[in-house]
Amino acid sequence: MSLRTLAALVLLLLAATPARADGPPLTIVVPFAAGGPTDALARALAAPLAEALGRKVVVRNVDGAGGTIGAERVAKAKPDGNTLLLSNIGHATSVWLYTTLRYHPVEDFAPIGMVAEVPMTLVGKPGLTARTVDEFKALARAEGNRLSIAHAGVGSASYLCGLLLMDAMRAEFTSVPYRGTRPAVTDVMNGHVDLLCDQTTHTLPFLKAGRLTVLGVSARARLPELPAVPTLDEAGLPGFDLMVWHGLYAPKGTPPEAVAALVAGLRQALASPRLAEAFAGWGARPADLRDARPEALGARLADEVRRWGAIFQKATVYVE
Amino acid sequence: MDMLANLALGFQTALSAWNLVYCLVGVFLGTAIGVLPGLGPVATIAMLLPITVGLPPASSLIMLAGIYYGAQYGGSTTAILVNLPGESSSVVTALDGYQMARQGKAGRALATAAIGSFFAGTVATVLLALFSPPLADLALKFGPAEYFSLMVLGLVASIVLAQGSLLHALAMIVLGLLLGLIGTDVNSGTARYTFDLPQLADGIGFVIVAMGVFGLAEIIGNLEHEATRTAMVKSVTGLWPTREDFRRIVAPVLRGTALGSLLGILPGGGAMLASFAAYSMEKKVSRNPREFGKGAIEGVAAPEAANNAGAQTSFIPMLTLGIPSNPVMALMIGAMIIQGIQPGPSVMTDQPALFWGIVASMWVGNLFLLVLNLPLIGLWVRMIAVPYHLLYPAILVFCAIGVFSLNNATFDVFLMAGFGVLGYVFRKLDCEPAPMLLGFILGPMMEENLRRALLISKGDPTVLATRPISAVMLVIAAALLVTVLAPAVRRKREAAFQE
Amino acid sequence: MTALSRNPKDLFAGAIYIAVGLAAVWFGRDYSLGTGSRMGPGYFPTVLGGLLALFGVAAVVRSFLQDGAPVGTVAWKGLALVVGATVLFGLLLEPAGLLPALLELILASASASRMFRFELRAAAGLAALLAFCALVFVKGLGVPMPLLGSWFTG
Repeated sequence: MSLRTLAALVLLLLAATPARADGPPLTIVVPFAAGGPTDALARALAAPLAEALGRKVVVRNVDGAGGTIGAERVAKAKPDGNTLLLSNIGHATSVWLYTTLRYHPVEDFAPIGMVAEVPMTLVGKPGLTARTVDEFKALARAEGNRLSIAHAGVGSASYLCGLLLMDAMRAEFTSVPYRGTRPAVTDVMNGHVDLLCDQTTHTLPFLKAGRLTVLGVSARARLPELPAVPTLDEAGLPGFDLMVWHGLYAPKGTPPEAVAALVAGLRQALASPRLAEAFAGWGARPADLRDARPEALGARLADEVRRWGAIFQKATVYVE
Repeated sequence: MDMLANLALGFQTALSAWNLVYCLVGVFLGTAIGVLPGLGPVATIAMLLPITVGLPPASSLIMLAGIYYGAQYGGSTTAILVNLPGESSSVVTALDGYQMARQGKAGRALATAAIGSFFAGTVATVLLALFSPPLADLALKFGPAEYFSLMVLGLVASIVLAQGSLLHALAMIVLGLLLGLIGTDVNSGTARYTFDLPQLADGIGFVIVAMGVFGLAEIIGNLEHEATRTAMVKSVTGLWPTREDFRRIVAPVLRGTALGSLLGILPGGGAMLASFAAYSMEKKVSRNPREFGKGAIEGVAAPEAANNAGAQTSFIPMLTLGIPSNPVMALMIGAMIIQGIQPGPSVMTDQPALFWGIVASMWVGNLFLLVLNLPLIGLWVRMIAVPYHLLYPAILVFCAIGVFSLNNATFDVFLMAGFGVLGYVFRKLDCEPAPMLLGFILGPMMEENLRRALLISKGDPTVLATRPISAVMLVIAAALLVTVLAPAVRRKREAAFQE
Repeated sequence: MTALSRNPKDLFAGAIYIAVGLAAVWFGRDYSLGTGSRMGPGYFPTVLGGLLALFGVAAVVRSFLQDGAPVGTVAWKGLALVVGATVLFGLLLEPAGLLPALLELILASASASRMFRFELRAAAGLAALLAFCALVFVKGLGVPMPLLGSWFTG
């Protein structure tokens, strides 16, 4: 028997020894493009979560159709505690927007806990003539649907903000869809589109570099990162409140022990200083420990589904 | 001068012992991935992202960058050796590269690819160093209308690519466009041609089509004339390009580098488009266009230079503005974010060591790749000298596993098998797959941008002609189309006269 | 029909184009067309499908007018074995595991070759290839494929 054959057989035997000690990794599916706000949060969460759980954590991007493709992937995944979904507010709204949705955001998932809340900013292209919300209102009255607002796909946070904005202003702009927020921000930055309402995760660096103008923030209080920028609520759109909340979900049917372990891991990860630092850099607020629980996330989700249902009834917007 | 100080800082960072190691690891890994069909830089970088958290920012980005452009080198290796383009940018390299391999010139083709890539990488690095901000601003001028016109130009260029019948080339392009539309429409969210299969909701992966149409079809095709095939593949005539070869590749490499550098900065498939465009350009300006598709060395040199230049310049928008030009750049942004660095316009000024370190390391990486790849040529050439009936099952194995590992879906394997049948059928009918693949990649982008442009202009199509950059590209496309159609029309008239 | 046509390749290709083009239009009939300036999801597919069908008609017509080379030998056995082996690989991967599935893929596809016979060198290469895949893909890259599937591990 030649040496080569022997070596090959030895290798084969070695290779056939049963599986690796550490088991399969935990996959967090992010239903949006890589490099986007939700993706950034997931990746910042992955490392401390891996440490807390003692297993490898992998982030996978499955983007498209406003986050529904990734969500469906997880809804249909094996409920063995190895696949999770990290999604944002879009998870609650997709059920209203997509009439042919092949999953239900509440029924098909077992919530783990809230992860973060991110405020949104209403930004405009560098040449936008309006500098304050009042000026913007006048501009909207004059220009109407000649104004264009970008968004990252039907059902995305930026799309929802746009809807809420148009509803609050009783105006209608032309909605321009993009695959993800980065291309959307790019086109606003180079002046092809007039407006964008997007999470601070994305807009902060461009605002700081002066590449975008800003009209207001969607939170209830001014942001420490942008002290000079008024909230939309105080600047002329009273009651405007939109925080992009992010939650971690497992497929329905995941065994309770697995869920409990994941909840514990999440709570530990949220307490990590490295995560807090990363989140702070984007204006994201890590979820309170009270909210990093299945019940809290479940309640928030149900609430939001109701809230947006009402808004969409008024707007009668839907996707074919 | 400021520039020299910056470069000094950059090299200081790049040449630190650890960063050299990371660079080497990155390019080595990248080459390996490029060679393995299926697994690409996107998947690999995504897998390695968590590991980079522990590394200093410059080191992690240097390594990841190395993986990316290293994969371009590796992808062309399999394209040349076994007609399997691992990356979309290596598809055109396979056209002539593989033919050269069959003529016993594999070594010369591989060396040409490596040398052309190195030259292009060097030039691109210089461009990065000197012109990043203005080039990035140029990229910003491209809006939806400009992109649409660019894609149209790309499609017209792909007609030039085709060797055989014009009618079939056009049909294959349209077929590719249609295949590319499978999936969910971004503008409306409608699922198109997915037949309710969730695996098709994001469309068909490029790798699946490429493996099937190029890889499987090639294997089946080679099984037709087994006895004669082994005789057809001549023994290797020499590993190093001849003096004549060198003379021939100078201009193509220069042209490819220029084209690649420009197209790489444009978000949306710039590097891949660059390789196609470079190939078409070479074919157009060549004195013997008929040689293309049968082993013209220019057809290897230009696309390879273009795709490597494009890979490097695609870093420009990412580093200067935080805008990703392709999925790999988006992951790099992710890597920066994980490191706590906000990608955006201020990176260049806030983190000069990082910025210039990456720029300098790119040149170092290219050097490593050249040094790594040239000696390997001998190894590769000996590998393909293995009798084909022993080699092709191995190729098939790598295709199957590679495709599976994309999404961990056996459905993808079945799909690849289906494309294998399709590819073989087309092969028998003399319909070329390359235009189809280009249509496949460009189709969805073209449609998306056209609809977006019309949306922004409120349904006014003249915007395509009134915006200067867009207008220029459409004019070039039209001119190119005329030069392609005119000889065909003339030939038909001549044929008709003869009757 | 093929006897009448002077260019069977064009004929078949044309038929394929027509079939695909019409299929595209047919299956896309539910997608809203929109207008030229506000295209719906059905616009491009319908236009392209129609265009492809037209090309197909042109090819078919041309096949009756111009001579062309015959199709040539078709490697039916190769086609069936290579494609079948690949499909079988996909089917076997989960139940049988990577190693048996690879074994099947290699042997079935290799058997399509006329030169297929048992050689010690080839067997060694086979073993080495299996080991390589197991090491690199499963252990190294962590692709979730069981080496031996549920048929063996129960």
